[in-house]
Formats: sequence, C-alpha cells, structure tokens
Amino acid sequence: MSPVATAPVRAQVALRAERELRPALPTPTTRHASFEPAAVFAVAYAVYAGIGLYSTLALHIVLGDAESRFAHAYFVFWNAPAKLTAIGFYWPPLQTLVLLPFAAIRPLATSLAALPLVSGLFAAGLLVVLDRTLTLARLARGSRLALLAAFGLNPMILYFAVNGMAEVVYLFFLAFGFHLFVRWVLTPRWFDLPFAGIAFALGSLSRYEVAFWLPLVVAGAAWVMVQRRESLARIEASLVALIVPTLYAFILWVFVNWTVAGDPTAFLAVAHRPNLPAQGSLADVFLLQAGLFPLLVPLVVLLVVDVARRRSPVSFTIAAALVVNAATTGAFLLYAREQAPLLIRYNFRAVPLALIAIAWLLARFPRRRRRIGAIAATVGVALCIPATAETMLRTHNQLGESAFLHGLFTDRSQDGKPGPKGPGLSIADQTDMAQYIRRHVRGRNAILADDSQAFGVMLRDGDPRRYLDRIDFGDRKWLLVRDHPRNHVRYFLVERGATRSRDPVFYDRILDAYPSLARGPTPAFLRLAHENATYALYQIRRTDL
Amino acid sequence: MGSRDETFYRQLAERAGLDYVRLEAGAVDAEAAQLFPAELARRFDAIAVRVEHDALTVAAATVEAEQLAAVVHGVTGRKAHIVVTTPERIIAAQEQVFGSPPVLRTDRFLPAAQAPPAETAFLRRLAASRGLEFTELSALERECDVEAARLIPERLSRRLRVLGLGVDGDELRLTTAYPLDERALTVVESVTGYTPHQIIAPSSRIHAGLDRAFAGAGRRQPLGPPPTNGGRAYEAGRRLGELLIAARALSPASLRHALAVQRRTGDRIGRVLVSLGYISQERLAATLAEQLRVTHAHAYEVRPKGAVASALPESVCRAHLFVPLDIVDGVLVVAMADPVSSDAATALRTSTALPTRVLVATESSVRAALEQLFADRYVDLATVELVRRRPEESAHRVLPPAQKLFFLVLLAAVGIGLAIAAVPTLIALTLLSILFYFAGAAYKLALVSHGVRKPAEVPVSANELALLEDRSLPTYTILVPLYHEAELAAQIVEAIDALDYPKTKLDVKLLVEEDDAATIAAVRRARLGSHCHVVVVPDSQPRTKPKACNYGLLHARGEYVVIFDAEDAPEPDQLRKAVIAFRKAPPEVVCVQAKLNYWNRNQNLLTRWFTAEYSQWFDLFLPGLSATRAPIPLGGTSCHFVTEKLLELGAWDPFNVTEDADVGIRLARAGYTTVMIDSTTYEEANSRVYNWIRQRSRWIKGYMQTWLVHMRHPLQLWDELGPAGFSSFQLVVGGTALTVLLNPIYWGLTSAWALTEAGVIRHLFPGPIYFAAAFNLLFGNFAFTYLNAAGAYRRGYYDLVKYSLFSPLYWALMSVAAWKGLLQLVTRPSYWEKTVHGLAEASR
Repeated sequence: MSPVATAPVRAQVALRAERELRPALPTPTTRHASFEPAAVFAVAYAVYAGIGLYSTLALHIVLGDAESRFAHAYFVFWNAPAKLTAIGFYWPPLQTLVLLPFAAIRPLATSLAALPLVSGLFAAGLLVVLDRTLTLARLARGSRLALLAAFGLNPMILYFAVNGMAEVVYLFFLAFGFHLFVRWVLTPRWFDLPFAGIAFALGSLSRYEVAFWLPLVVAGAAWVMVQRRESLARIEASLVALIVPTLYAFILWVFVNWTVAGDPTAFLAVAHRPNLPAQGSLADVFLLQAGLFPLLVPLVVLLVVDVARRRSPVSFTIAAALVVNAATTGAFLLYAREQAPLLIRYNFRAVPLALIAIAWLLARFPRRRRRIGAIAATVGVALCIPATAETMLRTHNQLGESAFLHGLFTDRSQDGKPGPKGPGLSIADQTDMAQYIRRHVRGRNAILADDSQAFGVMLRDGDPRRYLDRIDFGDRKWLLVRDHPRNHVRYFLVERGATRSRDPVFYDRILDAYPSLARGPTPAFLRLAHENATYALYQIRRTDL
Repeated sequence: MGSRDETFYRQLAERAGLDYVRLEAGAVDAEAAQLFPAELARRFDAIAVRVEHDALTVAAATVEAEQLAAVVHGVTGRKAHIVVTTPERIIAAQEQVFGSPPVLRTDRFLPAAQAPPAETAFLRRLAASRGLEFTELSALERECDVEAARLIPERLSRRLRVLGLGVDGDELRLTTAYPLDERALTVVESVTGYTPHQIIAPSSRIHAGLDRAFAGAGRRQPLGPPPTNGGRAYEAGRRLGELLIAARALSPASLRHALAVQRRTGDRIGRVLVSLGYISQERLAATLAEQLRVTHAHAYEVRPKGAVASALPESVCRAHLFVPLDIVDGVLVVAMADPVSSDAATALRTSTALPTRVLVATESSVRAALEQLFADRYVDLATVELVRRRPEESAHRVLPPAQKLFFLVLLAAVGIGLAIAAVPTLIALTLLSILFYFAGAAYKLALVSHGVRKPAEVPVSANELALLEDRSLPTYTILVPLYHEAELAAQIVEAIDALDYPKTKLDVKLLVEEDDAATIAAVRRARLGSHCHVVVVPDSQPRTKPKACNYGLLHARGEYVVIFDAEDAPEPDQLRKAVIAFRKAPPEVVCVQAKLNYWNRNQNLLTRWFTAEYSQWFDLFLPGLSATRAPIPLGGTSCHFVTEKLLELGAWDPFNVTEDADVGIRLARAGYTTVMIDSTTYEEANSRVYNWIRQRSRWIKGYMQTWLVHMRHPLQLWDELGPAGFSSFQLVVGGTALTVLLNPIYWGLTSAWALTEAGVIRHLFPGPIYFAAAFNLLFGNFAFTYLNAAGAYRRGYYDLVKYSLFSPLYWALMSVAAWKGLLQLVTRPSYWEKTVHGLAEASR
C-alpha cells in the first residue's frame, strides 16, 4: 500500500503557485459589434450566391471537377445502394463531404444551383474570418469593410466563390487557422491554438497541401512560447494540440483508404499523377503569383524587415506562409516535372493570407499610422483587382477563369468553351442526354456507365439508380458486366472523347473495351439510341444481327 | 376602598416626610424595575419605578425608608429615593412588570461540584488571616439548612456569593466566598433580620448549596441581554473579559488580542476567546453564568430526562441551542448554550407555559443532550423527510409501478419487434442510439464552445476579496462526512483550518457513523478547534453519505452550507468567493459550484486520465451548462448552498448514491439556478483500477437513479425545466449513463465488422445509418479525446495533454463500471460503494 498522502495542504501551497501560472480566463482586447460578422456573412453570401447562380444557370460556367465532385456527393444519397464511399478517393474527402447537405436536396443538386450555394458559404465565411482578423488590428469599421470589399471583389475570389470548386473550402480553413494563430499571439485565449489545430486538420482534409503550412505555424508558435519563456511542458502541450488533429486526420484517411480501397496510400497515388508535360521556370512561378496578386511582394518584404528588426516569430511565420505557395509550385515544377501546379488556382492559395499579413502589420503600427496604413492597404488590394483579371484572361494554365470573366463581361453562355485539354464541359449536352434517358429508359441498372465520365448526365438525370456504375458493386463486377452486358444491362452510356489517349487517368472505361464507340463503327450487338457532341447512348440488342 | 387607602398612605407619607405618588399603570419603567429584583420587590412590597440621574426611585407601601434604601443600595448600587403608594398599586405594577408570583419551592437539587484543591488552600489562608472560620462544605445535606439558605433571595445570594447554613439564636451562619464588607453585611442583615456570622467556603460549594436550596424555585428569570441599560453585565468589573481576568483565566494581553479579533469579525467576545483557544467552552459557560447570575451546568450535568423530550419543540431547541433537562415541581429546567441571545430567550419564553429555570451549559453539551433526547427524530428526518414531503423525487424506490409498467411495455414491444422483424427492429434501435450519440456529442461540443467563448464563472476579483470584511461574513456550515477514514481525519481538519475564514463564523460538522469506532476515535484525537463539532450519526439504513449530510444539516447554523469530503483540500479563499458570488448573483441562485480537481494527478496513468476528465468536466463542460442555464448535475463536494433553500428542497436524497447530481436537478426544477466560481477543491484521484471502477460504478448507478427519478413524470419535468432544460437533462444525465453502456456494444460490432465484414452487421447499418455511425465513431471519439486534452490544457496541466490522447482506453474502463452499476441498480440500488481513500502519493 502506498504511503498515505502526506501533504494535501502542502500540495495546496504548490497548487496555489501552479494556479497563478494557470492561463487566465480570456479577456477580449477588441470591441466589435456582435452583428458585424453576421452582417458581413449575409451580404457576402447574398452577393456570391447571386453571381454564382447567374454564372452557373445562365452562363453555364461549370467546371468538370466541381460537377464530378458534386455528382459523387449526390450518389452518396441517391445511388442504389446508397454509399458513403461514393465520394471516392481521388479528392480529399472534405471537398465532397461539405457538399453532402446540398446534395441531399434533389432540385438544388440536379439543377447545379447547389454548386455556387456551397462555395458561396465558404467564401462568405472566409470574409468573416478576415474581418475578425482585421478587428484584431483595431481598425475602424469603415477601414475594415473597405479592405474586405476590395478583397472580396477580387476576380479570383469571386471565381472561387461561385464555381463550386474546393479551393474556397480549404482557403477558408487555411485562413481560419492563421487567424487563430495570430489571435492566440495577440490575446490570451488559451483555446485558439487547439482550434487552430482543428482548422488545419479540416483544411488538410480539404486539400492535402494545407498540411505544408502547418509546420510553419508550429514553428512560429514554438518560437513565440520560447520568447515568452513558457515551460517546456506548455510548449510541448501546445504543439501537440496543434499537430494531433492533422495527424489524426491523415491516419484516419489512410485507414479508410486501406479498409475500403485496399491500399492505404491510394489517395496519394491518384493525387499526383502527371497529366501535362512540364513547361515553365521559377521565374514563371514568380511572375504568375506576382501577377495574380501584386501586393504579395511588398507584404513579404515588409514582413521580412519586421523579422530582421524585431525578431518577430509571427512575421516570420506569415512571410513564410506567403512564400510557401510559390515554393511548392516551384518544387513540383522542377523536381516532379508537373505542369498542373502552374494552374492559376494552385497559385492563389496564399492570397487570403495576405489580408492576415496586412492585419498583423497594421496591428503593430502606432494608432495614427494605422489609418494611413489601412488606406494604403485598401488601395493596394483594390489595385490587385485589374491585375488579377488581366492574369486570368491572359494565362494559358487555367481552368475556366477566362471563360468566367468573358461570361460576366459579355453576358453570354460559356457552355462547352474549350479548356486546356480540349473541348470544355457542356451542360447542354448533359442535359440533352439526361432528358432523353428520362423519357426513354426505365428500370433499375438499365444503363452501364462509367461514373467518372458520365457523372454529369447521371446528375442531370437525377436518378442514379438507372445506372449500373462503378460505385454500385465495385469495379470487378462492373467490368464483368461491361464485358458481358447482355442480360445485365440494356444500354451503354459513353463520353466519346474520353479516351485513354486523351487522359491516361480520366477516361471512359467502356471505350477501353469498345474503342470503336469513340468515333468508329458501332459494334454489331449495339444500336445507337441517342447522341450529341459529347455523349452517346447505345442500346444493347437482344440478339446479334 | 381604594381612595381611603390612598388617603391613608398619603397621610402616612406626609408624616414620614416622604413623597406620595399615585402609581398609575404604565408609569413604571420596566428596565428600572428590573434593577430591583422581583423577589426582593415582593419581599419589601416595593417596585423600582425609574432611574433619575444616579438615583433609583422606588415606590413602596411602607415608610421604613431607611432599611429599604439600604437594601436597594446594596443590591443596585444606586441611591434610593423612596416614594409611597398603596399596596394595591404596588402589586398591580409588580404583576405587570414581573408577571405571576413564583411557585412553591422544593427540596430537589442538582449534583454538587467539587472545589479544586488549590482554591481550598487559598481560602483557608484567607480565612485565617481575617480571623474567620473556614469550611469545605463537603456535606451540604448535613451542613446546610435549606430554609436558612432561603432567607436571602437567590439572586442576592449569588451576587454576594453567600449561603446561609443555619440560624443560631439571632445569628445567621453565613458561608461566603470572600469576606463581606460592611455594606454587604448590612444588606444581609436587613434582608434576613439576623446578624450574619461569616464563614469562608469555596465558591463552587456555595453555588452548589444554592443550587440545592433553590432547585425548583421556579422563577422566570429575565434572560437575554443584561437586564437594564448599563446593567450588571456591562458594569465595570462585570464584563466577560474582566471577569475572566479577575478569575485569572485570561491574561490582559490575550484579551486585547481577542478584542482586536472581535472588532474585525464582529463576533461576540466569548466566541472569539474560545476560538482563539484562550478559554475553554466550559470556562465560557461558567463565566457567563456568573455574569448573568445564573447557574452553570457542567457537561456531565447536562443529562436530560426522557420524559421532558416533549416539553419544548425540538426544532426550537435545535435552532436556539437549549435543551430541557427536567421538570421539577412544575418548573422546567433548561440548559442553554447562548443565554445572552434575546432570540433564544424569546423562543424559550414562547415555547412553554411552564415557568423555567435556566442553566448555562456549553454548546457541545447542549448538542449532545439534544442528540440523546431526539436522536430517533433526527434519524427519521435525515432519512425519510424527502420521502414524506416529495415521495416522487426520492430514489427510495427504483421504479414505481407506473414506470415499471412503462419499461415492461417497452421491453415487450422490443421483444415483439425482434420476434416479428428482427432486422428492422435492430436497425431502428441502432438509429435511435446513433441519433442519441450524435445529439449528445453535438450538444456537449456546443456547450464547451459556448463556455470557452464566454466564461461562465461568477467573476470574483482580488479587489473584491480584499474589500470583504470579516464582520460582514455570515456563518458557514461545513459538512464533512467521514466513514472508515480514520487516517484522513487529521488531514481534513488541517485543510479546513487552512481556510481563510473567521473560525468564529465556521460551523464545521464532522459526521461520523456510530459503528465506525476507528474514525470516531481518530476524530476525537484530532486537535479540533471550537468551530468543529463531531456529530455521531446513529446506525441506521441506508448508510449513505447523503443521509449523514442530512443529519448534519439539521444542526447547521450557517447561512450557507457546503460539503467537503475527507480527502479534500479546498483553496483557502473558496468560502469567501462563494459568499461574494451569492451576494452578486440574483435571488434565484441558491447554489454555487466550485471546481474539483486532483492533487495526485501524476501518480499513474489512471490518475492522469481521471484528472484530464475532471478538467474537461469542470473547466469546460459545467461552465457551458451554467452559461446556458441548463440544469447542472452537481459535483460531489464543494457545492455551496443557501441553507434555507436546501432545507426547503428537502436536502439530499439519502437513497440516491449521486445525491449531488440529484439535488442539482431538483433545484433546477424548483426554478433555482446554480452558478460556478473559479475556485478549486483538490481531491485524491483514485489510483487503483478496481477502486476506480467501484467509484465510477456508483456514479453511473447514481446517474441512472437520478434519471429514473426525474423521469417519473416527464410532462411535469418538461413543464418545470422547459424544453431546453428537459433536453439537456436527457443528454447529460441520461446520455452519460447510456453512452457508456452502449459503447462496448458498438465497439464490438465495429471490431467484428472490421475483422469479418459479416453481412448481418452490414444489414444493421444501411446507408445513412452507416454514415451517421461512421461519423460518430470517427469524429465523435476524436472530438471527446481532444476535449479531454483541451481540458487539461485549460487547467494548465500541460504534461497531461499527451496522455489524454489515449482517453478511449479510459472510456473502456468506464463501460466496465457502467455495467457493474447497472447490475447493482437492480440488486442493491441504494448500496453505497465506498471509495477507499488515502492511497495516493503527493503529486510532484
């Protein structure tokens, strides 16, 4: 038996001393009206949703990735059998998971209206986060809102907010994580760092590369605590709180890949596959990023100066965060020989952090200069708008950015506008085929389709049960049916241009078995039922001719 | 007739050169009348009318003013101005002021006290030096003639400390504690008519003789503050401190110190002196008796007769600390602990029609006497009061008939469902479980989020603490239930002594069970201050902590009450913070919950987990409940209550093994609120797995009991708590028990599915149910693990953060405890699984 505890009272003395070191209850350092975040959100969401619905429904500006992701979210609920694994392992899971609530609402989903509504949510949330960060800098409300407006109307931000893609999702979490880090430095809120850890975890599940920013925050937090002479235990605990959520997220995702796909690294295998030959240099990277948001360069310079003068860990962290995007793009270009990282959307990642950098720098200004600084920053951010627009229109490595601007400027549908790999997505063709199928095809699993290509038709149709796709029973059974379709399915649905030669990863696997369906003669056992520029529906004859 | 008397007495007065007054009703100043005691006033047919400057005007029906003036002067110390009035007017005034005349006397007396040897030797020498006789008065029955003793009125006898032994011719043999001066001798002669012959004797023997002579004398002694303004107690030389110094029981320096403390705390000087240890309770009682000229009863003399139990209402006795001892010839003999209290005097006067005789005794002896008289009633109150008043809120029955029927019907429905359509039934049950899990998790996360963004503790600043004056502090009752905790007795006493609260305002009850001899002995060995009282709870079922606390609560005199366990070490300023919190809070706040944590947190992995869990519960979760005004299942200790409100609620349920959680819900149902303060009580975390399981099984069993009790009338509960409170109750109290019961089932299913991918398991989790279950498993478990880590981080226990990440293993232990608790709920619902303490090592 252990000795009886001898000193609860003595322990009390020690505990009292400990208590003095215990983090104090948080005290807010800035005052803000409680309605402001809600108002910023409401206004931003209204604007983004409005523009987004217009661009999606009227201008038909829909990206294939966005539609594919959303379709697979839709299949989670409406497929037969309903499966969570319909989200697939190609993209990080959160990109699709955030779409689920809207995918459950059929009219929103099939009309594609859900796309801008989802991305608008996160874009509005991003503005709220940046507004809160600017509040930490004790800026007047007018200055804050002007800065926010200038940023929120940046064409790339606008594009992310309306296109239903996942960029704005991870940008939200990335910005939130950095906001919490800066707030933790400026105010004694103990919970900011653990929440930042969760933000980074969610960001990593939205885009794996967000994890690249986490070590910067970890290093910055450690440096701050060393400067504050915190105990080793506290430093350790704080870093654990930062890192563990992201670590757990990755372990969880690996486990899911292992149990479902049979390969724990399946997500890595598909995430980075070469799709275009590498063309470009580091200078191209710099010009691209500087062209997209010119203010990045002076901000980095100012932060580096602050690091040199005041040895500020936060300035170091934010400066490094602004540079990480360029660094990773350059690394992929040089060492992985990949072209994809030069896409515009992959080089805009650090831009929301620019506003956090502005907030941090302004917070360090004396009060009088802060107002001038805010005005200068607002002008700078506003001047980035035409720069960004120009880059969107001119840059070759893009995914619909110029079509978006053209559509807005000309009020004309951009349906089917060519993309970097050839003909662009055609909503009209999807709708046409879907309508035909709804009118003429009945029954469950009547149509064999490769969901990775036919997702648009399946979504527009609204009834995935009509299709025997790769989600239903897995690839093995699907391939068997593909090779021996009679008595299993009545139709084939193919995307004619999706051949393996066009894209070795994204191709229609029915065309793999029946290459003549792409542009050649129709096999004897099939009869062409309906076609348009993108899709063809073949009926399987009951007997051979 | 009256007018002829008046004419006669007017003429009498004129002849004697005295003034005549027509003494009207109401003309007598009652305070002045008290200066000349009733027995003397009746003896001389006189009454003191008023005080004029330093003279006392006495109305008499006699013209022998000289003798009367001498007696008046001797008794009151004032010059007498005699005026004449008729006897009828005298009698009428006496009756108006003094009440009915006294009843007959008897020979019964109280046991004698023995004089200490030192006093005897001193008195012998004194007598020898004055040429007086000395007697030890060891045989009062033989030596003292009661009639002779009664020649001098009792009050005068006690004041002068004289006892008549017998009459010898025209001499009265008179024992006295000190040689009387001429004036006193004159008084005695005037009163008795005999020439006093002094004999020195010990004062204790003289008092014993007086007790013997005047036992059952049956007068209503005016009680409360000294009889008049500037009465005896406040006369120079008569104040408590002065008497103690005169008796060499106290030094002037000690008195000065005590007075300084008194000025700061506002307490009575007697209580201060005892709390500082300068005098004993017995000495205080004896000195009070001397001051007020009443009898002191020693502890062994305070032995009430069973027959007098109904002579005074028990609740009044308990509230004002007096106990009936005996009825002697129609006179109720009462021992009082606080004879100076006018409330007590009034209560006594209004509680009985019998004339009373008051003895001064110590508080502990009065309490012991009350225990002796009323133990059965106290046990009854402690055990069944809640059952009597609110049977539907007591866990004395696990399932009342209606509830039993409901569960039987539910079980039958599930059984029929399983028989007819097993898979859909199981799917439905799974769905319900998953929804409950999800709702519980979401709610708890929302609460924590709310609590961290907006601290819910009542803020108490260092400035407020500094400005809180001791004299404004109320009396605080601390209940410390002890059972088989002999080794911790000294520890808790030390912890309470360390509290920063005036000891004179603490009312500590160490509650020990009658059959726990070891703990009783340990407690009695401990150096207890005067603020600590040992309360022995009679052996009765159920033997539970709440029953013991109810028993102790009956004797609480504090405005607030708190429970501390034996192993507790509260922060020293906790009581002050609670007082400030109560004063700042609105009236519906009747409970202040402090935080609990552990001082041996680093002892082993179990204590680390336990500490992280407690940190999360008290630093994150409960503040969220408090902030949203949800009903709070209180912690087992360090809940501070407004005593009156707690009693109004029926105090604790002795049949509920988590009486704290239960009372938290009951007070919410009654419309009261609990707030939190940022003050911590450190306890000993269970460091042994089996001991931990036993403790946790009791807690979970208690939560089940609490849920069952309050769900007996769900509609009524909904009305009382509101929809939000009702939902919170389900998720927090019900959910806590249900989730740990279900966890092993779903962990088992998950493991079986991962290993076998059995189709039957797949069928139980179709589509959306599978998604929800997966979400609960993957994100819910992580969220709560992270919360445990966050709780440890919040409290500053940074070294525990990494251990918190392995909390799921800890939850497995909780599930083991939960099933044990469920089994015990069926077999032994009110059995108190006693946690063994004292196993810890001090935390590094």
